[in-house]
Amino acid sequence: MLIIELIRYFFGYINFRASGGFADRFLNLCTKDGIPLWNIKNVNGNISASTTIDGYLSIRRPAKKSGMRVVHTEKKGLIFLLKKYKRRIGLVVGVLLSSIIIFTLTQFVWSVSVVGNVSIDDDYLLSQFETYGIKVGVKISDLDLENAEITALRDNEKLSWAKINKKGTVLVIEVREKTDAPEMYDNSKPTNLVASDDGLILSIDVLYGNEEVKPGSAVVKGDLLVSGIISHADGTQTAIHADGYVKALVKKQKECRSSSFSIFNIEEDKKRESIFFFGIKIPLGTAVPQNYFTSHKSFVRNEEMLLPLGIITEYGCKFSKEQMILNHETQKKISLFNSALFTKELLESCEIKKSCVEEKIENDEIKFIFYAECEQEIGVLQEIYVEKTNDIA
Amino acid sequence: MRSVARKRKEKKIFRLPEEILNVPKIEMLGNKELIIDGCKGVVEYGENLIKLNTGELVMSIEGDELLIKSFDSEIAVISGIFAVITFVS
Repeated sequence: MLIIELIRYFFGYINFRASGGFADRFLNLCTKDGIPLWNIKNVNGNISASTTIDGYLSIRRPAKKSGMRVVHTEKKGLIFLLKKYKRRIGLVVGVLLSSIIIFTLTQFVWSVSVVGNVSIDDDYLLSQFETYGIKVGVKISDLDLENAEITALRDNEKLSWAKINKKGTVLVIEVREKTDAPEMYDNSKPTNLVASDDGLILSIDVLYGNEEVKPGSAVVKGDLLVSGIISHADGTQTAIHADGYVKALVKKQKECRSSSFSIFNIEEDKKRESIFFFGIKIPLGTAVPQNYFTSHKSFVRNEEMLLPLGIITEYGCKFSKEQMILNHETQKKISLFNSALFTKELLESCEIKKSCVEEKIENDEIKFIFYAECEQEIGVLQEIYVEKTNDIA
Repeated sequence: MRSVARKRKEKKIFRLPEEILNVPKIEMLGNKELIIDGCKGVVEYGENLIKLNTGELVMSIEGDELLIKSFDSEIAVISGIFAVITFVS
């Protein structure tokens, strides 16, 4: 019904009132002459109805024959509206121009966004999909969404699923990341537990296998701590997966020196702004140096999404590298800083029991030697290679 | 009448639909809307009464706020609050 009303509005129609005469005869004659009538209402003997423009033009004959007097009450429809504003060329041009602009702009992608990613960065995914043609400013009819989805899954191992949803001019990339399978503890292979570092055994806690060292004994790197070979009373031996926790006091040492230091001299520092419009970048200035480059994008945003209009600001600088001889005071500071970094690194894997820093000067160069005694887990698994033979004597 | 009788006979033999017997097909939505397929014309048109020629019968619709929503040589759509609908042969 709505479509019929729209069609009537588009072609225009006339509301009229007919009075006097015979209403039934008038209606029958109109039908006979093929004059379409609708919304016919009888109010106090007067008929009000609607008909098309052509219908109204040929209504005189049935009206005359039925003795009715027809008066139009209202003209409705687009055709009358256009006639009304016929002289206002600017308005017509404006409507036409805006229609063309809207039609043209809706042929291109306005916005691309990513949802569903947890550990992978938005920018990384957007730049990846950009290489498959999924970007702002691309013609919608040129998009190959299915191919982009398949290629993205093939190229990015972290993704388990990807789907590009097209809602008008907006593309929403929906992704799911892969969940890595947990590392399974493999205790099927026969192993020994050996020392990963030189040290003094503090405690030993055997889970499987034979204990080969006692607390208080000194070991060197590679020494057997827990054996995976079990000897039986009948003289046979079984290779098992030995395991346990062995803590030892281990000495660590690191030499930190810094006689020279690299510095960067900035030779040229430049900023350039570019206008971004539907994927087209219009630079407002000359290119920036690429030694160090960073950019900042700022787009116009409405309540729902980023619009494909904005300013990209690029910063770039050209620099040269230079070695600088440091004075003793600076060398000292840098070396101590490096020592602190080493301490931090150690603390992640072991417990520092005792530490000291020794300062030495060699050939006008200050060096710091960092010594530490740490309590550390030194047991590492070493596979026992067993050869299977069938010859049993 | 002879023609109608012959048509009835043919219909019985060939199992043809009722429409060929010059009877209207009437569809009614509650007492608010009436669609009459096979309307031949208007016999009487008043504020609260519409009489339609439907071939063999004259259909009389009485009610309030009667409005002929659409009217052509075959179909009439009438809306309003119908009180009485009668058929006169």
